[in-house]
Amino acid sequence: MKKISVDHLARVEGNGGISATIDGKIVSDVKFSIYEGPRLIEKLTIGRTPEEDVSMSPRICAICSVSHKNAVLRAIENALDVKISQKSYLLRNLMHMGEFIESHSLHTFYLALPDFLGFPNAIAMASKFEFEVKIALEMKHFGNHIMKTLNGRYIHGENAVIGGFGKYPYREELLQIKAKAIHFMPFVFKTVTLFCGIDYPDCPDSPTLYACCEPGDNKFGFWGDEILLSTGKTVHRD
Amino acid sequence: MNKDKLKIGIYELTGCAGCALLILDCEMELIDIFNAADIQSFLMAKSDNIDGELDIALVEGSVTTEKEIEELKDIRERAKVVVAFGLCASVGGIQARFGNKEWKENYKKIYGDIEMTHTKSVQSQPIDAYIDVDLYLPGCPVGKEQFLHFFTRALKGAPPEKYPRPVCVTCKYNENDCLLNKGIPCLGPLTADGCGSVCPNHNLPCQGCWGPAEGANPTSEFFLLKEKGFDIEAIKKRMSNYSGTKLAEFFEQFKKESK
Ligand code: SF4
Ligand code: SF4
Ligand code: SF4
Repeated sequence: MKKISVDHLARVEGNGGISATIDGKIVSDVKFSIYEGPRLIEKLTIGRTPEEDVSMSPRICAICSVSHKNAVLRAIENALDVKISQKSYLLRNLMHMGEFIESHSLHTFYLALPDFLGFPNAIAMASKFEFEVKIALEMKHFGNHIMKTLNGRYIHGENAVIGGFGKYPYREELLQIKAKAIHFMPFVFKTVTLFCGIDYPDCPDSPTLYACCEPGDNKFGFWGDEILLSTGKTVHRD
Repeated sequence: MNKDKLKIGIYELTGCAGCALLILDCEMELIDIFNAADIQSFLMAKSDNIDGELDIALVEGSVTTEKEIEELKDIRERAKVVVAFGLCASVGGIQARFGNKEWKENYKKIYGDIEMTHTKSVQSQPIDAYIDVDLYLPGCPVGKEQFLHFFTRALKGAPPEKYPRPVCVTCKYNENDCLLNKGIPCLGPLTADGCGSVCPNHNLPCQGCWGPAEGANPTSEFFLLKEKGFDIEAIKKRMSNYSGTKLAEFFEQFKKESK
């Protein structure tokens, strides 16, 4: 029987630790601790103007700040009955995709992959996987570039506001984003191949509940008023 | 590891991780950063972390638990130079708006009687409430350019550039139409520069996310805002969103000067 204890989990966002007892193939007493300090954000938004709330809310977490931003914008626009144009809707979607590209490049290549390939960090991987590391950095940069173009900054940009955007991007900027996205496509397929080729350790099956939003129009997307659960249930926002 | 390289530790207390993420957002410079310095500890990015002597410790986040006070004191003992990295570390961040009494009351309202199991929560404060701080790099998050300038200068043993101006100065360099003239409450006159006036560049008012400007003249600015018909109380409230515990000092100065 062996007791393991990791005081500080590395290469994850946030502070946490884990301990467990391992007896042959039996794992028990798994304790997962989260060390995040409280911030009382729920209280911070009270008594402020909607505009100030939109500014502060993404500070909940930087890794997914655009998701927080889209959520707070949707909530406030819904409460104030503000409609946004189709153009703004599409641009917010693009902004969200920027976050996905940035964040997934970070999580897959920088936070997770070093564990599977036996390196302490992604930069150390460059000695053997220089191309992968460099192109992953470029993809991450591309995601950030999209967020900056739409939201004004990489992290906690202010350009997406109630009703639309402070400043709309130029057509030329959007076309460049399109060209870049096409440029990265072959590498996206390579990434899928790379991750499918990894020997993942067997994990016990546990029922996982998956949830996603129904964006409407039979399209792929990440926000909507209906939450679809893998149990087959649908929950409405309200 | 090369002995001559600067030993740097990057630590996160309570915040949104944006300032630490900003370092990873230097994608085109990241490999050079890791090669130029000996990054001893950076939990978000690497697993072989060492808690030893450091030349520079970058501390992100404010202090909101007793455990963090201990961690912070340990960092101070190990590091020659401690940098308050970002707004949370410099002024306490958005979570430092409440005084001690309010903090406790609000904690109870949100979490009820649930206490943290491993430590106790304390009112959010900037790191200089507990230790001596050598340098401040404000910003929510720190600006990328600001960080890279700081880093390259540190490699050469030079102190960082100072930004003793308010956002308005850069805003004027950028030839923006002033939003105050359009009746939009912009905090540029009171806020520390460093972002390149990004919000006014997008026709949006500054929300104050770099914290109070050292070189600002709050008295004069408040009178100017008053003259332009802005509600001073609303401006103060707005200003308090990102100024943490340093706002009180800022207004003390204002009170003294306006007498
Ligand atoms: S200063 Fe802002 S970006 Fe940095 S950790 Fe605090 S909330 Fe996040
Ligand atoms: S728009 Fe804001 S930052 Fe720019 S000059 Fe006017 S008050 Fe200053
Ligand atoms: S203009 Fe003001 S709110 Fe906008 S990024 Fe700069 S300091 Fe922050």
